[in-house]
Amino acid sequence: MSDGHQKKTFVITRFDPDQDEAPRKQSYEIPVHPDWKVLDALNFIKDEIDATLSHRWSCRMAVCGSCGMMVDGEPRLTCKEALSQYGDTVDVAPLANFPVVRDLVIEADGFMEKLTHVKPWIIRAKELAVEEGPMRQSPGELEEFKQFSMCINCMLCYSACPVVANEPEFIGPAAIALGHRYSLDSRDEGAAERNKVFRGEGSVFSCSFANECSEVCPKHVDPAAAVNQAKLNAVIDWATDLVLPRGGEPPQLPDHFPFSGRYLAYTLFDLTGILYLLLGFLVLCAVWSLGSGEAVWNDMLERHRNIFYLGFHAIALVGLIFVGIRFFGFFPKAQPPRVGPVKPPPKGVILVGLYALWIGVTVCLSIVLAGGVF
Amino acid sequence: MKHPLLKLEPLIWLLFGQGILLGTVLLTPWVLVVGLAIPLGIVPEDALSYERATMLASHIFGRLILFGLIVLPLWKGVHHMRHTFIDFGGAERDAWVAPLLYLLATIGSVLAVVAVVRI
Ligand code: SF4
Ligand code: FES
Repeated sequence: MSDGHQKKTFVITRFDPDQDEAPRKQSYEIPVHPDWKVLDALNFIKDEIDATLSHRWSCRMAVCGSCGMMVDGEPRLTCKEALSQYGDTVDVAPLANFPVVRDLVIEADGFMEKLTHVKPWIIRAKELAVEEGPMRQSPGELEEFKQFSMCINCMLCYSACPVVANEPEFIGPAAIALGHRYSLDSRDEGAAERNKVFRGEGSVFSCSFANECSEVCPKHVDPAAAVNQAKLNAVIDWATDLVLPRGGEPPQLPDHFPFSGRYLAYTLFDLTGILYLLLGFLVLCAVWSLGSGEAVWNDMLERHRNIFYLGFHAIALVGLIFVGIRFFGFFPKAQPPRVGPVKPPPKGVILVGLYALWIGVTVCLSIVLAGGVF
Repeated sequence: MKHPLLKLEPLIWLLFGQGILLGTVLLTPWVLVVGLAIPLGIVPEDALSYERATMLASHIFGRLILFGLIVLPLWKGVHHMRHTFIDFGGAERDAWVAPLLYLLATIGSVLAVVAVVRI
């Protein structure tokens, strides 16, 4: 591999979150082959010179979308770009507009989440029965959205987009193109739902039609077209909502909510919030009066003999027991099967442990408070 | 308001959960003795005479327990009140009700620090 005729210097952005405060540059001079792609050079560095270099790649043929990086400041698929088009020094950095995990590897979680927001699947008011056969689609209908379905999620468009740079919540080119692709699909009936998403947080209207996304897209998806078509749809959706509010009945709460049937316990559990808030402030007052001298403290004790205080504390005790029983019953199943290498004890043990803790602390603290010890 | 709250949600949830768990455990003896037994005369009042209360409360464990006894119920309280408010149809006003409730708990928590320090 290394018997190249030519040498090039790669200035690569390095970042190790455990050691570096900020990204730094590191240069590697390596021999290169005339037919290499940028990715080949990175792999050469990783394999032959510096195994600590981290970068993502997989397919080497511009379909997996994982090797996107900034090459000489432009978002590019490194497996697709011929090295020969670059000069003697090539600058490689992680995709702009994304948090960096390490070196050239960016954090894609935010993007993945945006993808799911646009409901990228076929939505039907009613599923067709299998007997009704396949849903047919003509070549013309396919043509309407085909271009937008070619996206490989390489995120180059996000790193080119000036709006993403300033409004990280913007749904962004690829996700909007993907959602729009389903809304355009003749089999889909979910356009109205998606229009709500497109009008919602990080809306399509954030797009200022810079068109940079389409400039850099390696698959000619033309996300800028999708975003701006989606804007028009969102406007139509908004206007129709104004003129004829749709959607029939607003969603209805379940029967019996909130005070009867299955929901009673739930509602009461939530309502104990008021008891706890008052208890917290009562303890605060008590502790405060203790710090204010004997007379104030004795006043506080005196006040507790008031019938309202007594009544409240009686109700509070019932509330505490109710919360304990209900919550301790739920608690064991809220434990993950494993935390790192540690497994929590079996559910029965947790439950018994909780009750033991509750009763134990109650007995011990009661004895202390009542003057039994100390 | 939504964004800062979203960021704080894990912390709020943690305090809320411990408010239910530890808060309930700690409040039960407090309510039993301070709220009921002493005022009803079941336990003689001098169990919590000023001297003895000060002695108990100024110990480091005493201060810690009292701090938990104030802060945990406050957060469990406001978080549940927020849920109740939403359940009773207040979802649209959550944007200002939630910060208000959490502000209340925050003020209480700050006062709690002062209260246990000045014993
Ligand atoms: S739209 Fe183009 S640039 Fe954007 S993620 Fe898809 S393939 Fe990549
Ligand atoms: S390695 Fe798969 S797109 Fe470049």
